[in-house]
Amino acid sequence: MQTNDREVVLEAEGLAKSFGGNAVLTDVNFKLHRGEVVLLQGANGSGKTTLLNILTGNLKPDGGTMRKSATLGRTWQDVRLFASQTLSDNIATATPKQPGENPLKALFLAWKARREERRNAAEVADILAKMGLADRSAVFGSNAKIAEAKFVAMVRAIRVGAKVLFLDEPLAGLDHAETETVLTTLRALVKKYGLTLVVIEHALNIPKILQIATTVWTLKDGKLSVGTADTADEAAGGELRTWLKSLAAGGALIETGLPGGAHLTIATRQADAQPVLAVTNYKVNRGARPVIAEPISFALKEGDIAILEAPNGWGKSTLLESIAGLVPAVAGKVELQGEDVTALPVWKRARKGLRLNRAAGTLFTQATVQENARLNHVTEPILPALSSRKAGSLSGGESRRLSFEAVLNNPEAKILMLDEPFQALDITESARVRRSLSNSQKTILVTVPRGRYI
Amino acid sequence: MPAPASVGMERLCRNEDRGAIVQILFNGLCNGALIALLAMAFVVVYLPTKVFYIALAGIYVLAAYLTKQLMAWGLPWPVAVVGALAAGIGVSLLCDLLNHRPLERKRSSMGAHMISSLGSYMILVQVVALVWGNDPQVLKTGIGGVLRAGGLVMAHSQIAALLVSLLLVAVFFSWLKCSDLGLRFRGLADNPVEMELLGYDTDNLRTLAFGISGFLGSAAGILNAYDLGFDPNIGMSAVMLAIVATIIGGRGTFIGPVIGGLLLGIVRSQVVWHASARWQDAITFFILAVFLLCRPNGIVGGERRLEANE
Amino acid sequence: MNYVFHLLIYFGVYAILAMGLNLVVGYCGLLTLAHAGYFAVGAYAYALGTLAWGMDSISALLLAFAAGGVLSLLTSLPTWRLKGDYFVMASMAVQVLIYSAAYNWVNSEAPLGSLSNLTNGPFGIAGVSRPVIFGCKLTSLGAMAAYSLIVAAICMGVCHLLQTAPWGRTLKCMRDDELATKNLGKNVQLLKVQSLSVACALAAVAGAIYASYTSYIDPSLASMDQSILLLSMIFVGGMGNLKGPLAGAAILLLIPEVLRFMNIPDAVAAEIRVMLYGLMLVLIVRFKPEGVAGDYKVN
Repeated sequence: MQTNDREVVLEAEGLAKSFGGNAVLTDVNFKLHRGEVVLLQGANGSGKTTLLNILTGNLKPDGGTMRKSATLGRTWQDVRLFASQTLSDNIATATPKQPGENPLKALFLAWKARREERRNAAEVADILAKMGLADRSAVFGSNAKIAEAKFVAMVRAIRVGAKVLFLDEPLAGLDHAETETVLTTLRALVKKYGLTLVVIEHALNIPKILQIATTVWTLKDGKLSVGTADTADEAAGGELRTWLKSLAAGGALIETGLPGGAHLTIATRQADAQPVLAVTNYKVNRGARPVIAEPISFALKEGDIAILEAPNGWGKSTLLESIAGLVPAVAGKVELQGEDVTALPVWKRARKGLRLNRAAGTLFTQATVQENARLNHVTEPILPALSSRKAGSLSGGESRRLSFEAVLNNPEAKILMLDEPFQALDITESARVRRSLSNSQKTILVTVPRGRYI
Repeated sequence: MPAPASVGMERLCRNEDRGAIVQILFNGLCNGALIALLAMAFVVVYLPTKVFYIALAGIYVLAAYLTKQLMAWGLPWPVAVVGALAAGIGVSLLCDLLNHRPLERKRSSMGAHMISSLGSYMILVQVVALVWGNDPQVLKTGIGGVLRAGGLVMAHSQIAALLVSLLLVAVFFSWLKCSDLGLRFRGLADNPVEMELLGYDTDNLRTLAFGISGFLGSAAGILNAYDLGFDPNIGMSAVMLAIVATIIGGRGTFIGPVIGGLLLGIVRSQVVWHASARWQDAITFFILAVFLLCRPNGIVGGERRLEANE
Repeated sequence: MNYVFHLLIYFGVYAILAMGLNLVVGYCGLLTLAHAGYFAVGAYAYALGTLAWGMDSISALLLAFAAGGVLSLLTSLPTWRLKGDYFVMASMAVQVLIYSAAYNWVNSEAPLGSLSNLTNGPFGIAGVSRPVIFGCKLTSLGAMAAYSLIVAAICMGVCHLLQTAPWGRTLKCMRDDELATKNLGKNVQLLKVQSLSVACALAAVAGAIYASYTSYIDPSLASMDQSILLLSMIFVGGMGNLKGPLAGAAILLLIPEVLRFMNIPDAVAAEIRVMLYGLMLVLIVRFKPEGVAGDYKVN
């Protein structure tokens, strides 16, 4: 792909941002040239979304400057179409400088405003037709399918007149065919409108974006460097698999592929174990948006340790939250120890021994560490050195440690679901987590993102 | 909405040349104690459930009328008070059961809960007006006794308001800090989703919140009725003051509203002394506006968060 | 027949109020408790205009309109920083402010309409006369009814034009997702200021019609109870479209009639009416959040 190193459309110097003492970005510098397609990569928590929010004006940086010479547009990870508007209205709203947007003109120059609006609608209809969505133009945003929603979101951003587009995980949640369509469309849009793209994507989808990318930016330790792409490291996945194998009675693992590119690996530790958690033909939506669209089934026996690896955007957190009862299922059932709990509220499922440890927000920040342990029914002291500190004042690492120890040592928790417990941990801490899990006799389900973990 | 008895208070104050400052401070403290009590009743529901408990205004008024009615039926005043408190708790639990539990099941928004509570408030106040009429009433016969200490004049009703409020606040906070149930209550206020995930019956904890609120709100209503008198419409202005106190003090904590209430009471009495009773409300809401703009998290809450992002 | 005219006059007034509030709550998603304040602003502006400042009816009506529009800034400027329940509280503050001004801006020694006695305080303003349109004074009820309905129809036309224009569409987008709308380059703050301007100006016009009919106004027009009643009107009727507010206005009007029909004595009718409203609010929010005829659910 040609890189037109002509003008600089966006540049930044020394951008920095911290959240509550945690420095996410320390010194970000870059020059973005017209026509580039940039892949912005970095580990979870490296600050990609923060940088995106700063560049698009949603967040103020703590320091540094930026300069732009073109209109910026963005798409969102969760798409964010306007639910009450049709697909064509979603795009039509984006058109800048409509006379009908000025209430005085809408009232006193109504003829002119309406004529402009008709012209706008005709152009939008044309755009939708060219994308093959002519028959979907009257569908409401809340009912849009995920792939067409992503198209409309991109076109909406372009319609504003944006020449620089920030795409936040555009390929998340798409299947193979849809991904190909999105990539082809992106290529065509870049050519047609002379766009500059900055794409954030995760490991699994990076090779696909590389088909159209001209440059790669990596965010690490708060700094940005231009370089080559890291492709998904399949070999690293082997480490967790080896560990699981060592735990399995008989050394054999049960491996199941799940729709959407996910993989479930189960190690059975107890002989003659009984099933304790069974999920059958399960589908989940977030509001009107399908997350787990194809039915999923799996079962865990007592003492099993299982790893669910899936790409970002697949719906790992949503699935776990739904099994716990926070998000209602569209179809299927959940059984705990043979009993159907699908209709039970969250706390009743928890009383039967099911425990979800979410990826974030699990602590009681106003209570002390000791009180957090008490609320988790844990009697032995956790992190005794910090026992009277308020949980909200702990560092990120200490918080995760507290959360993990609390759920592991909770005597009432028999079936644990841990959402990304290895996230942002270094080698020593990961090993410690693995050791604690091995030592625990409970039934454990762990999620990890596909392709990037230690 | 001028407070009629403040005029009497004015006269009482102006007659004391020396110690006027102390007198005004005392008056402010007593008024503030009642505002603090009602503010605590409001925040006891708001923090764990995020519900704008406007129906509290109806309970505040109902308690006063019930006390008077029970005394009119010949019951001694302690029995009447206990009866009114029990009724207040009962009505509050009903509000939870009929208004808020079903909405919570549907995971409704804050706006829906508030509108529902508004509806209950309307029903409660109209019932009171239907049964007992719209005329202003008093709980005590005559002016009531006073205690003099030095140059300070303390009405019995004021002392009662101050002492009872502080006592209730103290009991509540020690319950919060020291008991298991109090810890769970704090947990609910802190992270309600996590409480559910840990297997606690959050429905019952929320009902507990409404019960405590009904109790505290009724107590505030009775104390206020004893001090200043009442009519069916005083509830709304009382709750608005409580909400202002909550914001000024800090709506993310239980102690914030108490501090806000005491401060507000003192400031309002100063306004009555230096200007006139007419301007109390305007000044009150001016202060609210200032806090909302510059320090929305209140005195206790700390610096304003940068960028409210979704 | 006279009684029907009386109802029609009130229907016009309530319809205008409901349409304005629909714009704020149903299109902008802002829950406001200050709307009755602007109703009062309009009533007082019209009364002072015709009685104290020697204006004719049409100019006084326009004065009311302008006063409502300009004072709407009290409510719209806080939206720059405040969201959700913080905004509700700010609107409560505005309501109290307007009520306080109406109640306290009085000086019995000064003439009405002067700087020290703008509102005549709790005594209210009496003797507001019927409007004089093109030289005719609208003394008959029929003429007043026509006047009220015509103004209401004009307001409805204005709302319809605005809501079906791109402006209304952008408002709905802002209500759905303010951040995404902002990222499309739309000035969401300006949108809120504009819609509140229109809504409050409309409320003021309703107040002017009311004042010219009832001939006596006092600060109770701006009370919190009135604001709550207005809110319940649009919640029961429904929001987000054109017929919801009209349904709300009709229901608010018809309930006392139904009560009278059921022979409920007038002494308790007022309380029963408000009680019914409260009950309807609770039931609507629980079972039919989009109201009787509306599009938008507060959820």
